[in-house]
Amino acid sequence: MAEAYAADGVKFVFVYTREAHPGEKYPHLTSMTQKLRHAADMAERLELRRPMLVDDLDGTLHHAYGRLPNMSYIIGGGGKVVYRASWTDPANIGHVLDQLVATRRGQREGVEHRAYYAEWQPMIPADRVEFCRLLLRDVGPRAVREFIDAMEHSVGEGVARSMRDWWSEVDPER
Amino acid sequence: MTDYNYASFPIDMDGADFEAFPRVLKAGDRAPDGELVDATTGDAIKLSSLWRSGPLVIEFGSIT
Repeated sequence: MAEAYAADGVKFVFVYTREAHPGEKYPHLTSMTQKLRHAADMAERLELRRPMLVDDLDGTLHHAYGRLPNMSYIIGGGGKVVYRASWTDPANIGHVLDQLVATRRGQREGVEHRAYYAEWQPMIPADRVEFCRLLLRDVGPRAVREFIDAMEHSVGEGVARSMRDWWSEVDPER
Repeated sequence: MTDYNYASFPIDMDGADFEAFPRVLKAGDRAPDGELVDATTGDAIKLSSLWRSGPLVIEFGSIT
């Protein structure tokens, strides 16, 4: 996507934050050296072609933007927030960028534009068992156990049952 | 409040950050600026230098 919009002057970056589900392979952060190493490791695993950036160990910039684990923003040229979402959805980002690019083109051609405000609450599929599978593969069993325990505690055993059933089959310590 | 870099996923992790998200900033607000480091090159980068000439897409995330 970054390449598709490069000609339109759009830049893309990734900001590495903290380990949301620390575990055996990726423990919680205790130093800037470790934060930079995790970020560089992630860039390599994702074969990321955008710059992989980090803020300080306390996540000062992450806090300023809302502290969520998978959020995304589009900042307009000049520095105003154009789009913010608590979840990263490439399709929506593409749509907003198309409109931004068209606006900039129109403005260059002398067409007057005005801003309007919109809010939206889209839905996404939430496959929690698949999420646990990825946690187990990428981080280790501790992160899976802690996530299922927390989901049972906060959302309820009913919602967490599919994860608990799956885990009872694959938990290495069962 | 939980430590930012918690060692274990808190069992009582609540949805407070998700609930607060709509009020942290809104579209049209000035974007918070900050000094960041490129983890691959080691270069210091001021976020505002990236949006000065055109739009900037920022994705936040972590390995886990």
